[in-house]
Amino acid sequence: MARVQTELFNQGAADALKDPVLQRALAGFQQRLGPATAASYTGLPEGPGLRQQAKAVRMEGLRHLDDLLERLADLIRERGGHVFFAEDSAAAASYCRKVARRHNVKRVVKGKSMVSEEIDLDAVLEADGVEVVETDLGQYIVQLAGEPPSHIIAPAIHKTRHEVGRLFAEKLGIAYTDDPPTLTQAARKALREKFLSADMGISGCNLACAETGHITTVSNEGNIRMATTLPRVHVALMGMERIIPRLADHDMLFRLLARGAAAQHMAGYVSYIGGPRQPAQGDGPDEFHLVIIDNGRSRILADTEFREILCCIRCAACLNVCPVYGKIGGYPYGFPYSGPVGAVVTPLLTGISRGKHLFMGDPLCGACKDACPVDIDIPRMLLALRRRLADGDPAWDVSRKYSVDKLAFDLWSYWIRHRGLYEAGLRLGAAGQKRLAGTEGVIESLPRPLDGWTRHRNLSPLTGKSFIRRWREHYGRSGTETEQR
Amino acid sequence: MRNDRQKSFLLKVRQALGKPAEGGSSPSLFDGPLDDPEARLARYRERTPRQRQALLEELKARAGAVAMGVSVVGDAAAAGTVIRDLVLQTVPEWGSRKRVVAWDHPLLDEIGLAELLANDGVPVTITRLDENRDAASERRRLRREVESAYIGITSADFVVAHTATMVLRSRPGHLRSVSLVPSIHVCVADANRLVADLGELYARLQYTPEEKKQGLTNCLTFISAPSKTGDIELVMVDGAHGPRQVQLVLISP
Repeated sequence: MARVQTELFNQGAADALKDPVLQRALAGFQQRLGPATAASYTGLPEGPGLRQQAKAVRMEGLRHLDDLLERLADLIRERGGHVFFAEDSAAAASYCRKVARRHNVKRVVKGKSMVSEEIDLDAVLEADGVEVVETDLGQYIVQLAGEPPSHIIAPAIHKTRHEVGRLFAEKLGIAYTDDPPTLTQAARKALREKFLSADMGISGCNLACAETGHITTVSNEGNIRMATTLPRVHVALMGMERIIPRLADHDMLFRLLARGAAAQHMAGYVSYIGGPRQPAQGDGPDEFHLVIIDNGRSRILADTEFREILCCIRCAACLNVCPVYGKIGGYPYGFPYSGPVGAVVTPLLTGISRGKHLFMGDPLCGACKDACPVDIDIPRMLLALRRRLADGDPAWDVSRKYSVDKLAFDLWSYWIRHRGLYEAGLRLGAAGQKRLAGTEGVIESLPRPLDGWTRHRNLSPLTGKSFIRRWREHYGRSGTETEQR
Repeated sequence: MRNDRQKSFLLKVRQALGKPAEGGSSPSLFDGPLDDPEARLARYRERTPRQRQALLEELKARAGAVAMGVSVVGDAAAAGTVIRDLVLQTVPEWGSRKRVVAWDHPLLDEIGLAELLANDGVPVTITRLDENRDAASERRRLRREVESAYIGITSADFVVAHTATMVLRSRPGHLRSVSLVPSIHVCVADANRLVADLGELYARLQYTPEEKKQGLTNCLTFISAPSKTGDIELVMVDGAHGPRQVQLVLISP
């Protein structure tokens, strides 16, 4: 499992805001992606309502997940593929290591896969002496830099072209340039040699199709096709929720995915892979392995309040509109899944208490829901997470904490529900505040520990009479228009 | 062992879904409710020549927007001319020698690529496994040919107009690497393989008997643009790992 550092969110965010290079790299990318994606939804022939339909399809798939996975596994095995069900990241990683050992693999080329980041597969293989080469350009850049990805589909979004230029000059031995086409060509050349000589290819899975028994891979670069076509072994990793029932459903989902990810009509490459090279075929891997990974997903599936987050197709549209992500980038989230989706799914996968800053640090502005191609209600789940944290939930190992906040709100709740006590308190407060009143009859500063309330504003003084009491004095105890309504 | 692992995995999923431990399959899930495949199939069957022409125009516009070339020609000979012009105008990216690799496909046989390019001194390899020789060494031979070619020529099972997508099945003689490894990909297809959108494509794949029989194969590939990336400051660059240039040649008698 990847290192979990969710507890460092606040510090990471503060550091990110002070990092001028990061701020330069992040400046403007949301303005380019966010509005373009929003416009692309309105341009859909079916209209933006297609997003709700797509969610319904994803939810339907989740309700039948057991049957869909069984069918997928059966059909892939019929074509000579292997399917391994991994309950956690250790099982998944050790299976991949076993396959690599059996084939005496020296070099692995990888298509970008977030689930492989989640299970920290590279480290496991590298510890075994295998050279692991990331081949998505952004992922290759961060691998050369010795960093994890900071965005779900644009892993090097936190790097400026100057940084990439310096990195390539150092690591690839080319002359320094900050010209993206020249840098891309340098990576194309370096990685082509890796593709042609690799023994094993590793990919993720975008959305499997149960009906036909195929996984799908999606890319614009063509690196995933290379990694899944040329080496003699192909291992595909799949989070268990990434499957839909029917082939026809891919119609809307691929169009929505391309729009959510990059405001495109359609991704450059989509491959349906359902097994190894068949007899008499001239190329393709001799062996195909599919690793289906739970790693905490079944617990999310069981909780109907959070099941919806499993509809996610990892397009990163929510990252591209989130005001928090736009300022701090992906690293403070402390796990491969960042941004609004990360603020929900990361605590659910790695611990709600530990990851509380992720969902407490989100402003609930709702931009993520509007941007989501499958209309996932992320703000609702952020609130639900806050509620679980406050109330405690043994199913999620969250104990109810009696914090000062909680105590204060419980006292408040008791106070306002007891009318006599409330009125008495108000009168007492009104009498006691005379010492606090500053010029112009407002309270300019409160004593500690309440001074936070007046640090940036003045407070109006208490009147000594509650609203309800004044109402009754004015209109009488009953018979008002408002009460009759 | 394998079964135990799968069983306990799926049991956990069933428990999460609140289902009884013994899972029943959900066959109805795959019978529908599709919106109406018949309507989409009929739309394809009953398309008038004028509508087909409009689709072709749409394909050209969409392909143009993603820097993919489309030529519409009348017959195989004209397709050959397009290919030969391309060979003459372009240079290899990696080596210095011009070599072409092409699928073993009736449409390409008709063009007669080897004879067409013989006078220009450009060798053409057809990706056919010689049955009289060891299959593994034949595959290695073809792999070397694909790696050394700068143009790869394939055909498409379908072409989708709305998304400018070429749909390629993998079969013996139809190597996946031909549309991937060479710097230039040329795809020759019959214009009657043109469908309007992905919905029509999926309906044909699933509900016409001759297509359903073939299925999706072990690898069905959609290609909708030249290989590209935007991973450095979101600047779009053509030619990331796959072909830098893609040319679709549609034969429409």
